[in-house]
Amino acid sequence: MDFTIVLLIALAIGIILGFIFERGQFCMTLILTESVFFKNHRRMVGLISAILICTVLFNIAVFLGAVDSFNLLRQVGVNPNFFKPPLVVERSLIGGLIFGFGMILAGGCVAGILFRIGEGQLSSAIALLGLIAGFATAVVLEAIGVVGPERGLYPSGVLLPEILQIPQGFLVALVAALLLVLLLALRRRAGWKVFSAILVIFLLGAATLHYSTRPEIVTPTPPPVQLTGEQIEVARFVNAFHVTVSNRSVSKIIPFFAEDAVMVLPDGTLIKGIDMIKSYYEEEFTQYRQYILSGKASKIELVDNRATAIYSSGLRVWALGATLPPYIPYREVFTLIRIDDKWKIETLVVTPRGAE
Amino acid sequence: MVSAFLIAVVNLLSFVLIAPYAPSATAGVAFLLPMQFLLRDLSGLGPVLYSYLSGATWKVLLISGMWGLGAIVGSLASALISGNFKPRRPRGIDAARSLLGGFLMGLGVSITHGCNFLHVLGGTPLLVPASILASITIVVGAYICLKLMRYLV
Repeated sequence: MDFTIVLLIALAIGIILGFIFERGQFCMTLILTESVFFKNHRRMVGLISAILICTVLFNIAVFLGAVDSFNLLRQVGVNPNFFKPPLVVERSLIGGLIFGFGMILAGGCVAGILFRIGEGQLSSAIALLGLIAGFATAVVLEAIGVVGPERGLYPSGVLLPEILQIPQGFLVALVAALLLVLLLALRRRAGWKVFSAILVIFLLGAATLHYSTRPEIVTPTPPPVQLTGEQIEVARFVNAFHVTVSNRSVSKIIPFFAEDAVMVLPDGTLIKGIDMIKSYYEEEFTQYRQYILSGKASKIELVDNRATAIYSSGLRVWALGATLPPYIPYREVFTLIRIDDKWKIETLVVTPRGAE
Repeated sequence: MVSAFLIAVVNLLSFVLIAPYAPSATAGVAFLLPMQFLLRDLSGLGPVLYSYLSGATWKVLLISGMWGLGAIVGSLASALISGNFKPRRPRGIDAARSLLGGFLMGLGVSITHGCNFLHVLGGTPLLVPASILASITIVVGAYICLKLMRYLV
């Protein structure tokens, strides 16, 4: 797929939407201003209807496989999950509030300022310049390290149904029902009281989600059935290690290692001792936005208080941006020692698979 | 209501073919495009700027730029047809307010990885948790600002 075609399609979609924006004067600032100041919810009803229609149509498109069949992003090497940002509660809260303030001060949301530029309003062009300056400032702050890379509670592309363990169809129906209630409330001019109550319910739900225990994203690989009792114990230990690494929790990774543990990385780098291992993982998790490690046992041997486990593992890491995350196959050789009835990693040798 | 329906349908088309409509990174293209031309060797840049200026992220910024450019062209066409096109200069104070508002929006876009359109009409319908939360906080932020303005003015 030629990337130019994707750009032309994007341009065509932009032109159609620009036309509709101007005709319908679609702007969230205008919608909110009319609702809050003048108690006129006509445009708000339109916005909520658009969200409702999108909710239903998008999910039908996903369900029917239309997105998998026709989406062009993967063909040009772009990760579609880039448009489903990871959940970083602080970022959503602070960024959203800043954006909301800005939207009112600028006199238009992003769609609003774009269509008003088309109408010849210089103030919207100035707002666009501000938008560029704000974006540039954030990028520079990130580049010089003032704003660190975010650590998402969940990776990009993880949706609410997966987090809440609720079937997608049920949740979509629930959201659609909620939006319908909201529409009816606005039609009956119940107004901001109902709207605020629903917002509070959502915020409480979000807060509960944030402060509840973080669920494991990577499902541990079940140990092969032919393993004996002690081998299963070792396999569970290694699987738990993989899950903990995937959850990027350095404090939880460290207890897996013995004090004088040694790690050998695929490039031959030797890491000795618990402190260096801690630094290594801290550095790794700072570099990468997502880090998913999983593996399958190829061989597990036990002799007295020691065990050797050989794993065929795979790592998916990606740092910044929209690149499709590559799968990097590794071979991991664990030497474990039982200390106080608990397994600890004594050595971990990681080699690229195929290079061993 | 007709506009809302049409926006939803075109947004669906955008989602199926590319991604939900998200024109905010137009700002990113405008900022980074000169760097793309001026810098011959990108490898000397730090990882953040390098990731913005190369590969897939740069492609996303260009797509978003096309969405934004298209919106300006489309609205210009509509305004010319309907006779709504009229160049208007703001007063100094309004221009400053627009600049500050735009700046805050730019920061917000970068922090939440998207504008109101992506979060409200793209991420929320897909049940992306970050977008649902961002949509709510955008509305709350706007509401507080409106109330403050009403109180102050």
